[in-house]
Amino acid sequence: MNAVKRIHEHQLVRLFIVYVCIISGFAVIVSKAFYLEVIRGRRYAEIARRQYSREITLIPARGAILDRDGRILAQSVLVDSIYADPLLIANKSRTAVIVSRVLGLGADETLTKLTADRQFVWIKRLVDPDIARKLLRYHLKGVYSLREYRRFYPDKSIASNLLGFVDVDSRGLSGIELSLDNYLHGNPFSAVVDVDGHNSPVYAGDPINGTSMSGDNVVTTIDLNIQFILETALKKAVTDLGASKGIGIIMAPKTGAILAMVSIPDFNPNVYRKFPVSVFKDIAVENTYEPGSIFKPFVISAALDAGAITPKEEFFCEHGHYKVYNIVIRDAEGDYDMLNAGTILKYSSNIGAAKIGEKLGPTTLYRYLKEFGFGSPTGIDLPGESPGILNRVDRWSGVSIDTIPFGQGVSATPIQLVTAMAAIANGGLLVMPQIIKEIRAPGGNVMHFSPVIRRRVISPQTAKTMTGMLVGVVNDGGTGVRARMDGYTVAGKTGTAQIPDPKTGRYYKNRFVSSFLGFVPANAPSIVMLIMIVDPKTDPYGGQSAAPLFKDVAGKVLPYLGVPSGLNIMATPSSEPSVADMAQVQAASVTQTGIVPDFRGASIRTVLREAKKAGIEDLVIRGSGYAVGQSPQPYARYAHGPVIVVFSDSVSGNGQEQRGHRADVIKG
Amino acid sequence: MNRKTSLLDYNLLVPFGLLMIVSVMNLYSATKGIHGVSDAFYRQLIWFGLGIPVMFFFAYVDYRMLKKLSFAFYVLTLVLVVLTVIRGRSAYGAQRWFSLGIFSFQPSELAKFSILLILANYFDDHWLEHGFGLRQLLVPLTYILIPFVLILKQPDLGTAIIVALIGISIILFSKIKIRTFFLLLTALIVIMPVGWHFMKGYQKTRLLAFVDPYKDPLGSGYHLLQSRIAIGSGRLTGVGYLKGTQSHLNFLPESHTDFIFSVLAEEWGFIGSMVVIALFTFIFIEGFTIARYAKDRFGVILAFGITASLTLQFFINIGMSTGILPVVGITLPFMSYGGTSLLLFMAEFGILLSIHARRSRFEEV
Repeated sequence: MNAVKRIHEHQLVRLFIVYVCIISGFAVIVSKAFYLEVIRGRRYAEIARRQYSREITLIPARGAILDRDGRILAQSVLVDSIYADPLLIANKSRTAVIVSRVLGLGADETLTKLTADRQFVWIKRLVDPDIARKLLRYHLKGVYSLREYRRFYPDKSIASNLLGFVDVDSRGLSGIELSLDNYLHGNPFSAVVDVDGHNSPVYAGDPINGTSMSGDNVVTTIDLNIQFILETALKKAVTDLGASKGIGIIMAPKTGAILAMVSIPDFNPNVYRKFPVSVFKDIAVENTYEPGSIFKPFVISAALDAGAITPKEEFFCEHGHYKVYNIVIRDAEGDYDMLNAGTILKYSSNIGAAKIGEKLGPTTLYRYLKEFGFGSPTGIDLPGESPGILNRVDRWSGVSIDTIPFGQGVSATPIQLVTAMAAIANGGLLVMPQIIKEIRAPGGNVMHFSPVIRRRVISPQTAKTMTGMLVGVVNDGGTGVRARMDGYTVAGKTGTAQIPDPKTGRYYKNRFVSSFLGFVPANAPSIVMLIMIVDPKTDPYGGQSAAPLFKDVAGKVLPYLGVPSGLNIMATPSSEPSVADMAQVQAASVTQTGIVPDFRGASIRTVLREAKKAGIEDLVIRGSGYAVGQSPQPYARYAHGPVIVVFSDSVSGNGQEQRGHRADVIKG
Repeated sequence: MNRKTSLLDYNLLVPFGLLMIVSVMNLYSATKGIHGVSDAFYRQLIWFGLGIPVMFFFAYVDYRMLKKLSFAFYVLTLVLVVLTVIRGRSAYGAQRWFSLGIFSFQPSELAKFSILLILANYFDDHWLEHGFGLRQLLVPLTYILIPFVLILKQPDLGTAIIVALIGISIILFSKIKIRTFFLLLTALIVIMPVGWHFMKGYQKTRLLAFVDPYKDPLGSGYHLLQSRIAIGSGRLTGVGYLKGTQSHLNFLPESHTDFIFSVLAEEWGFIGSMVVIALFTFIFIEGFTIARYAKDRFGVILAFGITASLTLQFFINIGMSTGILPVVGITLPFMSYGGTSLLLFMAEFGILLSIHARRSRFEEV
């Protein structure tokens, strides 16, 4: 007992020291806590708030880009992005195995992510919703998905150069995505969100609602089916001919609406990072080319319109060898004696064109070329449009008046050439090329883009005369004979331009731009089309490579558009086309009004039966086989005129088949 | 209540019970993320559930039987620590864990208990009326040094320091010659720079960050700054339960372990922190009082050692959270997540209750 007592006496002193220590320790802690929480509390609370509150910009759904019939060219879709909260995952290796198997990721890489010491890690972004659903069906604790917008181009490379693409922040970087970004992008809105210690916004559901904030839908003038026809054909030709580039444009001349516009090489905008930057250019508006012989119609139109020459007037073509100052102008195809304007075009005589230029004179030629739109941007709603090069007349060299008439010493964009040719097709009226038809705001407001007629360039009479001459180009003996079509009269011009070497300034001996620029049907043009093939390894002449392509594409597009074939009475170059003839035909028979059935793909017998059922009395049958085209278009209300159905034995040109093919593309 | 008659020490149990309620609530908050509560919370509940019978077992059993077990327990702890160093599970770059099925076991936590047990045993057996000289302290110092070095090797600086401090405080509490005390103090001051030399890179940066956390606010000073922001933003009354942004938005690392106090301070403010500190204070005062009234020398030293070990960890943890002390991974007893330590603390609590129940009748002394 005594011993214990002593222990206690001894320890009492020490315990007293211990108590003192504890009390002073508490004093320190309490005063420190008081200092932090009460005295400096306001400041720390402010620091904390600044740490977790972030004003972030939420990007609304980007507007869709549609073709003229509302088919989707580009669309923002909600996709799932998978993320994890590693702190909630108990069995990390099992979770990693499942996640990596379903998402197709490396197991180790996934496990590393799942062991991160944080509450938010991305596992995989922009996942196919089906796969995301499959993963979420495992109900793995700590593995979640959230929805994000992703730009989706259902037809992959189709119209890629035209559409362009967007970056990860959904901003347009090229093409229509860039030029109409302000409309498509919508109104990004700010929101204050909480962020975690890793600066990731804390998501608690779908981040983006508010559809009223989404961007406007842009309806283009493009027809997806025509785009598809042109792009497929051109791509094949570029490959077959070993060419470096291919350009194709189809325009409705009256409105200037671009129905299709193709630049090859193209790319898949869904995965644009896999492609070199060089392919993103829309070479149909950005690049300029010396047009070569396809420029002759504009020069001759100018000369005719100015009254400098008459259609019958003949020019001495120097037997293929014409020396002007220090240069020699040659005719590629032969030694011509006397040619008139029509035959100069038909045989594509450079010397003849030069002589016409000389007769017209630089000032007038320059004025007309300016009127045709050369040297100035057309104003199409696409980014990076080039004005081309048309030097002011006081800067022309002595030979410019001889070379410009056959397309050297001047350069133009493909869109300028198409627009200028459309002026001839339109009876002399220059329209502005249009790529945008409507802009539809989410609230229902629609902004229409009406066709814009810029000016009259040449008189209707000159245009008619020129059309006749261009029809001659495609007739027997002409350079463009391979563009001749069954049932449709083509007016057009071939071109084989030499490519200048940028280093020496001289032309390459064996590198050409082969082209065909024309419109069809000649008397009532539905389409103006340019085909340009840059540097083909075989068949360098425009008449060899571009002209047949024009014919193939037009052969599919015209029936698709329901343009009646074989109706043209202007089958020969001698008789000049007349718009009046067509009007007379239309006025001739008046039948009752009704709705036109869709005949395409049907046999003649079916068409006859259906037409009778629909009460169509004036039915015109063209060709044999299965219906490939009709006029008026299916489901149109008709009041006057015959209903024309075009049949073909060849299924390849069949409208139905074409549509079926398109459906496959969308599915794939 | 009547100190003379009650077997259970309600002065200890009541604050303990209240503290456990706060602890569970606070840990729930600390483990609650954006998508729900992490499994850590439920694991801790299981440990807590296991702890209650363990606590009452030790309260029931006579603490003196521990005397016989102290050496065996000490050796067992050393073996487990060595095993952990050799083939333990690595967490945060250190091998502190020993996996037992779904639960991980941390032998270095055990060392905190073993050291006080074996020292209490030693000083009880080798009591010197006139105090211990350097030669007599050789054995106890060796007892301290072995686990200290091994745990330092893991490396777990915090636990190693705690083990050393528990040992030293027991030595100081027992009788030590004044001359020897100053000799050891001098030795310690000399050793410190040498110790710095042997520290790991991250341990050095932690110490430097303590001196100036703003030097590298996103790196080594990050823990410290975020903890200060958490505590400070609680202000007088706190931001509200489950509303703390510092822990819920992951700004505060280790919020459920080392920085659990910051979570509490953020959500409950100065008032809440004071309540918890007061509960701890009651427990500590009562612990030392139990030491004072213990029946025998072993009980005195054991009760002192247990209470001192709790007090030390409490002060170091709070000091670390508030920026008074450098960041060394020391958890807050009863509050932080950690199964091994919770179980041990509850066992120690049971021993305190046992010492109390078998207290001396000579209270008036």
